[in-house]
Amino acid sequence: MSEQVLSVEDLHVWFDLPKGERLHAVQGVNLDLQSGERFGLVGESGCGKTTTILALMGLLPSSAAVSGSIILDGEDILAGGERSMRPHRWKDIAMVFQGAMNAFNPVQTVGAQLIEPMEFHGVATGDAAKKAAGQLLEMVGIAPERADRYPHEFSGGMRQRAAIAMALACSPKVLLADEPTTALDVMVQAQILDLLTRLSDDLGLTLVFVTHDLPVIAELCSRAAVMYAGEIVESGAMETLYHDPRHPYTRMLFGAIPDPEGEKDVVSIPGAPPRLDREITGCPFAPRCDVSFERCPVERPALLELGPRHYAACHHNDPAGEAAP
Amino acid sequence: MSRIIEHEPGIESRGSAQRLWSGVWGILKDRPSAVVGAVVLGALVLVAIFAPAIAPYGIHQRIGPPFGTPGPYPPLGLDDGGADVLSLLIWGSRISLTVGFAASIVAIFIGGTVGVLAGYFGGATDTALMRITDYFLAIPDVPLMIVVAAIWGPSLWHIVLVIGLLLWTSTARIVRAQVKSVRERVYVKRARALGAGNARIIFRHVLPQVAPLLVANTVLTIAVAIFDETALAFLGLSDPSKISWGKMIKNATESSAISAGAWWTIVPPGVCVAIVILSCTLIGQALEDALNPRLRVAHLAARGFRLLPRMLRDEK
Amino acid sequence: MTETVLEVEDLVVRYPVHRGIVGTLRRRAKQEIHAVEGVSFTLSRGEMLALVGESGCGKTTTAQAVLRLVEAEGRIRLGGRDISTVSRTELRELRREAQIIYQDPYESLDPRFRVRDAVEEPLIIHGIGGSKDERRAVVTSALERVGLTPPDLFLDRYPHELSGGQRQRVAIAAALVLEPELLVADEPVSMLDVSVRAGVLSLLDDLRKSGLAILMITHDLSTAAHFADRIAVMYLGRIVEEGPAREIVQNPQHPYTKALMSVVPKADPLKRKRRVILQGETPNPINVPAGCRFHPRCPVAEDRCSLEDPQLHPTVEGASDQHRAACLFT
Repeated sequence: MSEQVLSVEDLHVWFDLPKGERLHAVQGVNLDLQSGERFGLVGESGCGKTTTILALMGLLPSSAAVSGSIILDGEDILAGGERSMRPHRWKDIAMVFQGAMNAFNPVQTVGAQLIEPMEFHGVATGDAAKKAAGQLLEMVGIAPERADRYPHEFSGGMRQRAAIAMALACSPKVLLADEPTTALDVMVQAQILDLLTRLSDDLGLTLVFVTHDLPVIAELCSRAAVMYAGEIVESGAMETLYHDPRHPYTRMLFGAIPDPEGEKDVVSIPGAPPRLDREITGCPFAPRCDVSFERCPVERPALLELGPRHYAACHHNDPAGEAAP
Repeated sequence: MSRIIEHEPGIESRGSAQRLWSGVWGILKDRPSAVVGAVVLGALVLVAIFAPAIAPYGIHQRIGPPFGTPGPYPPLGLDDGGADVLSLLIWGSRISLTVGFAASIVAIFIGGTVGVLAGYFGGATDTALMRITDYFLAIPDVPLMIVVAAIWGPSLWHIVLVIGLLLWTSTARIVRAQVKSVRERVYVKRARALGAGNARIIFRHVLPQVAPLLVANTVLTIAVAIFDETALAFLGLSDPSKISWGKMIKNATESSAISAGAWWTIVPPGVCVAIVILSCTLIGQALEDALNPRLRVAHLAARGFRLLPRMLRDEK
Repeated sequence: MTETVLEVEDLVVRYPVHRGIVGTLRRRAKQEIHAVEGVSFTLSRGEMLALVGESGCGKTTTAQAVLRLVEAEGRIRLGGRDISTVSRTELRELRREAQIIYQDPYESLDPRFRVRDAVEEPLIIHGIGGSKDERRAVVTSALERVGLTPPDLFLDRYPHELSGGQRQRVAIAAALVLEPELLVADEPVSMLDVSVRAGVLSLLDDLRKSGLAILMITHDLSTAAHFADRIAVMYLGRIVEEGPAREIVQNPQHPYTKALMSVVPKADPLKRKRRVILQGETPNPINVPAGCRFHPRCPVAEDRCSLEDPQLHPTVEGASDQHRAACLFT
């Protein structure tokens, strides 16, 4: 029986823009993650998925304003701002950043860079830390002797594994990964996905995988949330999202992906996402939606529960109001 | 095969390169220090241009006793020959600024050409031009200027040339670096794939990218050129028939103004030089700042986000 | 009778590895990177061939060599003419017949050129198109052809005022203005959002139907399967399998292709198949394995694979002669 390890309630993030305006990057996101779960956060550029996970780590700059709750093991770690987030950062929640494989310090050995977070967070020091670093490397599929090598001696895939090892240095409960396989070849990507699956199964690690690549999420994750214009428009089990999507964006997104066996037509979604520096009235997807009706540009749809842990924000799911024309 | 580009139209995700084209002023106006610099420099240029109309007296005109004290009139006192210091400053600005601007134009022209050729063609051309640049860099400025003035006589154009020939090296280096990086940009490769010749690529694709940096560099070069001119004039290597700020300081020290307590003959020209250099520096630095690509991962370094209580959010 | 637009025979591209002073003093052996090691293929009018492979396989280098943007050995015939050894001025002529669009839509347009300038530039470079008005008409019709309508809305825009998909369309318009026979598309959609890709790919498909020959470079097998007529899979500088797109994808013969197909993520979570995940990564093109290049990572390799270097030949189980693979087992 897996318990809830992380829950996010009504998360909002605003960024200050020059000339006094604000960008509403994250608009009321709710998440509910269980221990050992592999969860996908999917969306295109600008939808707010990276900002969301950065908010979970408290890694937002002074131009950002955050509200909401981030509940980790029963404690709202966002309530005290940086003060309450810091003790949990890396020790309970860790992150593999976008482009992490290129963010290694070129003049330090990989082993030293693995030891650094351990010593900094007081998890291990000296010889114990060295040993732990070797074990971490082994866990991600790198021979422990390579700890004395420098990043440039590692291939791209190996560096990504090392970045994952670095994130796991303090044995966190939750691992956030931002586009970890986007820059990798498909075979290396498969290796990394395999690794993440193993880690999540063996360590009971909760994984949040952020990407624009839907099929990758389909391979790795059991559940996912689709983000659009700063909010989650649908979330549920992967099979449900694919076979019974209840939000037009989810459906059209799947429809825009070529299938390797190449049977159905591939269709792009016309238009572009709305600007987030202005108030959006009605459903943010309405201008691009192929089934929008009168209610859509007027009233913002609420996230409705359609089944066990299946939510979607679309008026077509609402029995109370007018349904399809 | 890597990142997905952001396509939020309306949010300026690409940096200031596009804004620059709508005018240097567009950048400067966001920075008060640069605006001050620009205004001051502009005012001084106007003073130099309209000197005949503004200066109350001529430079040799004796209107009072030597080292006449400043008072309500004359506002800055008189020099050792009884001439009005304020008028001298105004007339002197012409030479100081002219030499400064002219020398930096020479420097930019040479440096820009060398930089573009070295950066664009690379290989042997690059190596040869950079070695020449190194030799020029190694030459000490002031001794060379002294030698040139001593051999070919002190004249304004000699000064302009000498300063220009010494200042072009830093421009060349900066331009070369920029050209090298622009040459690798995809749109340049694309232009070549379209069949464009070198001349077209350099003038239509490379130079426009280099121009903003060149402007910033020019402004900073002007500051150095004016300083060099002042130094040369002070050393007596400038044209003796012309007055400049450096010359004013030279005259003052030679006529024992300090022991006579006549600070007003030395301080004002020094202050003017300082003001011009400061103004140029402010403008130049503002431009350079605007042109440096800023790392967009600032959000990883800073953790100073503000926390809003949930109630406050509703009032949005 | 389909007209052959491009014929490539035994293309070889090698880069010397810089030894540096220390390397020369130490008498390090001169090494070369064998980026492309004997690639041959043909492309006809109205056909799209996808060169597929992982990084380092030589697909981009091949595309550049075809356009004579890098030095290469071997025979290249464009529109029947041998362009492998051609003078500078003739090369310029060549540029009109073969064009390229690049991966990065942000970078491939000069930020200071308006859309109209960017699309007009090829005409000016080659001195065609007549008067200013005539050129503008060509530009306008090119913009319409790529779906940027109404053209007047786009003519005066700068690249930073366009979305990624729109930028890519502008690049395509600029390529079309010279009416080339061949278009090389280097990862044309990999940097675009998913919802936008299909639009650009459909555009390329339409252009193909109107007679343009397209050589598409991509790492994405799904895209290749969907839009290309034929696929050639490359590994370490060689084509290891080629044939009609559907066949390659549904019935791969070479172990590498089989492994690739098995690990391509599928959108349908219920369709998870057994994945063949190869160990390690593609080796450095400096040290090409002896015998079959793929044998160190091949799940079914035998001893003879390290001795014999297989050439492309029609496969035993392939549906047609067109389906060829370079493996001792097929």
